[in-house]
Amino acid sequence: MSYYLAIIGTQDNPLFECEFGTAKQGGDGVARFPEQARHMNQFIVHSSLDIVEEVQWGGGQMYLKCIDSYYNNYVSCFMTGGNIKFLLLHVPSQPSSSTATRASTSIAANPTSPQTEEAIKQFFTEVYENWVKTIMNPFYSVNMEVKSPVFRARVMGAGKKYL
Amino acid sequence: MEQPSSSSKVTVEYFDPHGVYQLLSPGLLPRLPLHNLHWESHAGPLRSIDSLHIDLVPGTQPGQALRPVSSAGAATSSNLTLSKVKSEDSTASGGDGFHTQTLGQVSGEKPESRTDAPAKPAVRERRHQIPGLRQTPYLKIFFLRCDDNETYKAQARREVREWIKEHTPPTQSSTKQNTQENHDAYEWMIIHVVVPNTAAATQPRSSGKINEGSSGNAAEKTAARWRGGGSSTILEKLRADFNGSSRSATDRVSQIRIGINDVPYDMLPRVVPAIPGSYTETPQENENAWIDFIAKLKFLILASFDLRVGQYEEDIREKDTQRSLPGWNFCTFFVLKEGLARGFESVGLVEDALVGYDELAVGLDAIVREQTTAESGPQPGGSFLPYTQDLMEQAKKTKTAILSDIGEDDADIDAEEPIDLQSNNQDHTSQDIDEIPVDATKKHYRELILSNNISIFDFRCYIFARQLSLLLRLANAWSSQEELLAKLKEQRESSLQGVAARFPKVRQSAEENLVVLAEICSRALDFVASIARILRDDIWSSQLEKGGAKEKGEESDSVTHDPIMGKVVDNMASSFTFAVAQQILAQTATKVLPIPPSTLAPPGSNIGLDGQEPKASIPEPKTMMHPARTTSLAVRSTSRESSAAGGRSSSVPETSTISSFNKPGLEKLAGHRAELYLLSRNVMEQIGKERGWGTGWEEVSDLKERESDMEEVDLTVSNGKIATKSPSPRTIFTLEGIKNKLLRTALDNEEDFLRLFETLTDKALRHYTVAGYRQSVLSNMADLAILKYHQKDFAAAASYFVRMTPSYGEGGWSQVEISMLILYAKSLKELQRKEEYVRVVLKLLSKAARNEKERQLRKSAIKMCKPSCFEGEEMISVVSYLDELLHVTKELEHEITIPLRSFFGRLEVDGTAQYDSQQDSFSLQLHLRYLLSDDLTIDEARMRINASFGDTNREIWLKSSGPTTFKKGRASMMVKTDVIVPGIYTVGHVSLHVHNLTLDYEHGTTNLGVAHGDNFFKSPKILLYHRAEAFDLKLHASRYMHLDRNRSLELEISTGWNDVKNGELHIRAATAGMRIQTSEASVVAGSLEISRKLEAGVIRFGPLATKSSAKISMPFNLEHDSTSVSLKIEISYTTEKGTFFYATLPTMSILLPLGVNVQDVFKHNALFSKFTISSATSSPLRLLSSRLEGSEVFDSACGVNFTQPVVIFPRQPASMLYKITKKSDNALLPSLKISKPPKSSMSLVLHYVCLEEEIDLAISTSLNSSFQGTPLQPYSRLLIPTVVSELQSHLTPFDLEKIAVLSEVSTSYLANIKWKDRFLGLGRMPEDNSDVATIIAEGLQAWQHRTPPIPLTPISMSEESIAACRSIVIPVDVPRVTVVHTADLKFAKTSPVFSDTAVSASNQPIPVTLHIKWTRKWDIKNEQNTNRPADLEFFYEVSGPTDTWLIGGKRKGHFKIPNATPTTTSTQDQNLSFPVVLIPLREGHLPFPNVDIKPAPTARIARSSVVSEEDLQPKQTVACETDYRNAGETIRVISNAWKTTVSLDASGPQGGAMLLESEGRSASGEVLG
Repeated sequence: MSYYLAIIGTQDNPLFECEFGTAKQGGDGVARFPEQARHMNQFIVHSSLDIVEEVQWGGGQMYLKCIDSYYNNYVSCFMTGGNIKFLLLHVPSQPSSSTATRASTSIAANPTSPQTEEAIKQFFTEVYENWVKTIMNPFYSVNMEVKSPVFRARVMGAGKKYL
Repeated sequence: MEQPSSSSKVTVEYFDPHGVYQLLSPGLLPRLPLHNLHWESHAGPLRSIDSLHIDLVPGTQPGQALRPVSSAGAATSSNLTLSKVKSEDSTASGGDGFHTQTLGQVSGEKPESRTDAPAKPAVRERRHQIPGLRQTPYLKIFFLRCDDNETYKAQARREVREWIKEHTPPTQSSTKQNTQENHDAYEWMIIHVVVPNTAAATQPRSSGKINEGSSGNAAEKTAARWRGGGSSTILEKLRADFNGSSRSATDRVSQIRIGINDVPYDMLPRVVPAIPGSYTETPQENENAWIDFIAKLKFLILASFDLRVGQYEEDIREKDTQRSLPGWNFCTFFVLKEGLARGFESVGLVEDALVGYDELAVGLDAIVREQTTAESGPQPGGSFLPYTQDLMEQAKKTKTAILSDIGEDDADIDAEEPIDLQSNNQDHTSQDIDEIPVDATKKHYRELILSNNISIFDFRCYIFARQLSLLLRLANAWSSQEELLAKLKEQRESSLQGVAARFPKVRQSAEENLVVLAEICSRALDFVASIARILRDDIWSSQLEKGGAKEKGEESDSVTHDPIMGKVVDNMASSFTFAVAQQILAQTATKVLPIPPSTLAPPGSNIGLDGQEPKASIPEPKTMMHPARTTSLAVRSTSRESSAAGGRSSSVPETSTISSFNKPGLEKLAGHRAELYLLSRNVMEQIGKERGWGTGWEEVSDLKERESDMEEVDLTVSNGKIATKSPSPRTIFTLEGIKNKLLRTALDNEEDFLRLFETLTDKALRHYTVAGYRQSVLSNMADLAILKYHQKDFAAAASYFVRMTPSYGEGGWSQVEISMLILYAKSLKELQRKEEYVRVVLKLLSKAARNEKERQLRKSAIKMCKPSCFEGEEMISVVSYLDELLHVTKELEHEITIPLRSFFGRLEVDGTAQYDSQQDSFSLQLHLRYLLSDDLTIDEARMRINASFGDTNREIWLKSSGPTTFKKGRASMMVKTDVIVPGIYTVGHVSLHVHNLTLDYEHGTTNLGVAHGDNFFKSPKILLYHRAEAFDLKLHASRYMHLDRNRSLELEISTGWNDVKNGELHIRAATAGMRIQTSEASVVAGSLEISRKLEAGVIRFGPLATKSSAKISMPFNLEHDSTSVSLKIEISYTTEKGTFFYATLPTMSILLPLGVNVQDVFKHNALFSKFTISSATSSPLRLLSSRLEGSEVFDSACGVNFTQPVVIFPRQPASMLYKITKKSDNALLPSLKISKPPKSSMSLVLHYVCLEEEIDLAISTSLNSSFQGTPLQPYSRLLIPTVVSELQSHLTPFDLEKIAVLSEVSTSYLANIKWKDRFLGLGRMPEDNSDVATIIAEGLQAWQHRTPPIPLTPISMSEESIAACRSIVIPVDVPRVTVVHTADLKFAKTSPVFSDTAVSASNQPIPVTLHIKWTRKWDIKNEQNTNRPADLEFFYEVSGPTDTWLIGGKRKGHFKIPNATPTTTSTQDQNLSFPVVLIPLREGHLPFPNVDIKPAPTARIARSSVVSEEDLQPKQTVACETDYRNAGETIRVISNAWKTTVSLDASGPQGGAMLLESEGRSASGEVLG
């Protein structure tokens, strides 16, 4: 399973992007996106912003779960109070058409299962914590890109931990 | 009924044995539908039904229909009457002869209602547990025609009674077992229709009313009584008979009178049994009757409805409680609940009905879930069919078709065609039904449900269909289902006839509820998602079943893996999904939705294949190619599309779209519709992909892959590649199983596929636009753009890209943007649009560069933090664009300017200016970090540096010498200039030029905001200076100053190491009000040729050798006084090495450092002038020499000259006294003859030295000598002025005095100055890379330590040094005095004693003579003035202090001075004498009395009559000086006592001393010796 996390600001502009792969079940933590179509990640995430807008007022939750899917790409969303959107694009490692994946309950194989949702929720919560710490930087102003390597490392760590 | 928007109807059955419905209907129908029904439900609030349609159905003639249930119910109530009813049947149907003509008409009128009637009872046949399925009437109405009381008595009453017996609602009986009947509860009602011209018509409504009414009707009343045999009318009788006895019973009888005009003539009874016109009903009464009727109608319908609902709810509750019991059947429950929902629906309470269905849907889900979890054992909630028969059959058929195709190895379309057609032809209606997959009437779902014989798929379809229809009703959508079908048919017919797009007439649907429509769409989306899965499962399980029938066990696995079956399932699911989406889209289409015009076919795009617009031509090719399969949907889509597009079909009224633009739910609806479009598009795309038809996206990645391999981008290659690639996945592809026509047509060939794809995307895009989904619009646009690109429609693609790419770019979605830009650039290149191509490629390159920069930044950041978490982010390679770009830009006419930072990551300017030896030029080094991977060769680099203070406009341009090539990474280059203007500079502009392309960077105030947190540009301040050997220009005030003349300034030009061939000076005054006369410039020192031009301020000069200097002096004048002036001087000079430029802004002080005062004392023959020379500033001066030069008239003489310079302190001025005498008249005479007046003014020439200059000199020489030979020497021109000015600012007046006294300067003032700050910007030493400023600071410190005091250079008094120092010439005018008197008081008798002072006795008169001598010698001006006033009258006055002198004699007196002609003046006696007596009053040394001589003012008055005006003039200006000889002299006054005798005898009466005798000296006032 490959992941692409984008943090989107209030102007629908990406503030932070990173890619990582699953570290569970023998994953090496490296994203396996098709190299040539890297832009598709942004494209998909960008398109799903409309859906975020639609569902964001639905429940009082910050975690909006899986909001969109595009072929085999799934987009989960987490909204902060300041209208910052965390969008996680996750792509199962192999297409879940075969019967083998149907039985499997692993996070990587089953992008819409409750286990996955829970794992992503935990991941988001940790990213959110770090995010809040990062933007409390007095030199940070809203919608500014976050380039802190520490934050990046922490996000990676959270990804390794939960996903 | 005509209104399509409401499908809710209540069936009302009417029995019309007399055929009066015909008469009644014109009055009744306009009053329908019923409005404003209010139903008080058992639970929940009061429901209002706005309008309720009534389906008036003629009832079956009693006894004709077999009604077992009803009769069973009725049997309990009254068995007796039943027989009567049946017996009367014949009379009722046959009618009496009286009314035959009426009846015949009626029965002939309604053939269709008659034919309809049998269809309904067929459903009604069985009374099962499905009460909800029947459309039983809510109300039964009996239309009674009873023309008079007799008839009533004889026939009508019986008739009615029978009818009532038969139709008494079972509710009347309250027995328990009959509660079931409440499902069909109904009410009944009798309408008495009164036909005009009958007896009944003459009857009033009620007899009582008539009695109390007007008396005029008495006859009628009696007639009625007479006729009716009673007091009551027929109506009253009816009421009395049938309304029931109880008080609370409802009134079920109503009377309607038909107006005489409403009845056709032939229907009027010819027999008039009553007196005509005896009673006529007023229209008001008529209206009231109708209102009464309608009210009763409403009430009764609601009453029966209420009963029904109550019954249903009770049943449902009962069933619900049994849910947990085993064997509980969901289907039964469903039917029951649906019955309730239908009931709601039929009265128009659609929301309630919808809630019912929603609950059922949830219930179904729950049951299904339970069933799946409970694997084995009895299935809770009843069993469902494991698969759907239809689907299985279809799948089977498809499979065989595929198999036959595969057998032929080549997918021949013709082979599958007949099968498909056949299946379509099987029944004609299914063709339409295929297009509407979700339809509650498609199958007999309810029967299936009832028989527990339904699959989950069907079940869900049914529920959704019901929900859909309810929602559509709720939304007031224009399309109810029947209508849709009708419309489809109609349109198909019209299109077959060749009518292009006949749009249906504008519907009258008032308001469409867009929120509900949106709800439909979103529900449909959910439904499609779930139903597709169910469909698959359904088919698979059917296959399993089949397989299982043959061999059980492991075979099932193989069935699941059957590829052909998989294909079939996929196709069917896709088709179904597509069809549902299309259906929903069709049903939710609304005119209110303002969809913007199509963005397809942008201007300039290629014309479609058949010469039409691509969009318009979408359906046509299909019809041409497959005429047999012309589907209704395809045509329908045309008409809808054209209406939606708006632009093409102007006939479509578009007015409503604008007005209702902001309807609630509009955006939602648009959004959901767009999603539906996308859904169907995706379905299609997926199938297309199997076939190898890409929509471009794969190609995008493909393109970039090859690029990264650094291949030449050639589109023809990519074409070939795709062409060869596409057939490869052609393993099994078939259209079998795709039943949707549109989809099938689209998938038939690639062209149609792409066209439909485009259409769908475009529609989605437009809907998203309305919905305000920005991002989705963008992504759809991207889809379209890539599709167009894929189709080689580059113009269209470009038009999409141009709209789309900026939006991505602004948000910062760089990767998407770069991909888009690449494609955009390629499209533009294909189109040969160079301008745009350049623009786009530049953007692309700059984006790539930015990404590269970010990557580098991140890399460095990560390196700092943790090397392990470095991610190998792939960058998009943009190789080879640059060369192409440069190639293209070469051909452009105009220049293109882009920011430097788009290609470069960092720009750094080295702070050390590198000066070239032996010439006045310098260069700066630039460091750049180039980000692109292609090499960039620039033609020229330019840099501008701006002076950061002082002359802010000053800017210097530096240029690179030749082309430079940049490779990725750091690079540096030199830029050089021949211009040196000392000062502090900052870099303001850097630009690189390649052909027509300019990369520039402007560092100014404008991008201060960006500069925050930005480290692109780094440049220190640059301090430019002149090296010691460089060309120099100095400005001095002229050393020689003549106060009378214009001041002048001196320019000192020193060439240094330059061998100047020629040069040009531009001089402008920088001080306001200053004028420089360059035309009068002259070379003061040195050898220099000046060629004066007429241009003001420009001086050209000839060659000047190396290390030589010249001084040019030029006068200037000032309008205002100012202490200092400054000049702007620019000089350009040419040497062998080129032309250099130098500019400076020197300032010089023109303040006079000294001030001179003069005091004149006139004597008869000489004038003594005392010059007081003081320092004008706080700084002391040294006066070297002073000389008063005589003039033609005067001579001057001085005592001595200085041998030592005189130091003048501010508070200690120097005085010089000169004696001025007039030259002899003889010497003057010749000059007098010449008319020119002789120059009388003299001039004072002073040579002096300012102490400051001395200090400057001392320090400069000291510094120069100390720097000689050190590395600091080149900086001396920079250092010395700084040190000097620093010192001068620290010196106080006291310090200056000290220096003047001590003749040495202490440098201790300079010890604590931070020199380093003053020399920042010099950069670093080239040798050891140490900071120049530090070195300078250290050097200065060392110098200061070495030389704590610096002795001032002693000034010699030699001629040369005096000449070299500053001089000032002050013109001195001898003041003009008309008359100079010399007054002298002389004693008459000369004292015999010669002593200094005269001695006189006090109180003794002293005779004195006042001698006045006068001269007009000093009246220089008037000397030659011949007509000066003849006489001048003066008066004198001798005055003294009154306590000292008593003055007698001629104290005051007038005297005249005659006009002294030149010839007589010398000879005339100039002495006057006046005797005066003085008596001193005191003893001691007394000063002489004053003598004042003044011109007499009175003289004028005496001669005013004679003297002209002219004479008065000089009178007033008469100036006289008096030289009073006695001033300062004293006279000693002694006591006059000569002898005094004093007695000192103490005896006597008085005692004490006593003056006895005294003797004065003399009585005469002679002055004693």
